[in-house]
Amino acid sequence: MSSFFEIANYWAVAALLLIGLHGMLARPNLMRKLMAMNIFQVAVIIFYLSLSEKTGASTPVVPHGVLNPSAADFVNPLPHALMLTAIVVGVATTGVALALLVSIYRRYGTLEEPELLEKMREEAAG
Amino acid sequence: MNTRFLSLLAVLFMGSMLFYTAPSLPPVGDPESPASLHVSPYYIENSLSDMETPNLVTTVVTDYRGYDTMGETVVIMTAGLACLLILGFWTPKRRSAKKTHYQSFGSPILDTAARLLVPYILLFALYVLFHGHHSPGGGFQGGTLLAAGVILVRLVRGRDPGWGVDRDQATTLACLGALIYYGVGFVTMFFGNSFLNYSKLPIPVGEAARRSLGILGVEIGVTVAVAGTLILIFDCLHAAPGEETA
Repeated sequence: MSSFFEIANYWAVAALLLIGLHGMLARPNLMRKLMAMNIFQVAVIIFYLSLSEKTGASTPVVPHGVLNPSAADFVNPLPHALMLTAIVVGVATTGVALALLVSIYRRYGTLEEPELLEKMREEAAG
Repeated sequence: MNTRFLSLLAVLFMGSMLFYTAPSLPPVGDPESPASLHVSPYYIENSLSDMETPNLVTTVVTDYRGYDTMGETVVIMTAGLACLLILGFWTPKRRSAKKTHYQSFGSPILDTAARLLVPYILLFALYVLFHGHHSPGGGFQGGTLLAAGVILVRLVRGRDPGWGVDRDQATTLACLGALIYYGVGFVTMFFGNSFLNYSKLPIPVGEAARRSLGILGVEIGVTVAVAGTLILIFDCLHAAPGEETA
């Protein structure tokens, strides 16, 4: 068991996760839902980067002249690598979501969920 | 009101679960935490001798987990193409004789600032790409910076900037980047029966140096794919309603 302050990063991550979750569930505006999803994603990224941390270790780039790097001197590069790709994929998927929002707005003229549902029902009823 | 209440209920539930389980995680900065014990010491201790590349993140991204990154490159390319498909690809371009869609923030100050900044942004992008073996950087970051330079010109000078790549060229670049990545893999497969094993590249240098060059090759592919995709997404979102869509 870790004490409360040893895992301060994880409390920050939990706070961001909950903010993102609430935003996605409670906000009626689709744009805000998308931004809340991005906050959720940032929380996951910070979680992974916190996992990779080692006290007293440096960035995972071996300085020139060091021939036999030891594992304790450098932070874990694996979560950094995973999050590097996750950030770029996150940007790309946000782009797709924005494109979907643009086309929804062009068709229905609104991004507020209740109005949108009403217009879609009207359209389905003919 | 009902939605908000239900949402708060879900948030409270998840919050209490997090509050209950988080103390069982290892403390932040613990060198003995399980995440740092299994494969990661191997990556740290061997990547310098395996491929002469001091940046451990680069070696993990492009060599030890090269298949993973290959998939990611295809994912971002697909995202760019999806934007193109969602926002009007099938209708032909409307080429008006008079350039009515010249919309810009083009004050002289912005124009001059962009002229000064853009070359350095692009140069820095290339530095980040090619120096990514020895310092923080690499394909994804370099590609993002390249796209940032091109998009800055678009923002300042409008939709017809007269410089940079247009939307169709960006589409080509996005696909070309993924193709370069796969191409390196197929070259190694052709010469050594081993997909994405850079030590099989037909280059007359030592094995570790071959791996280093292979990493550079796929990094260039990633850069091209990321830059093309980001420009493509920006162009799709930036097109005015009715301009190129039905």
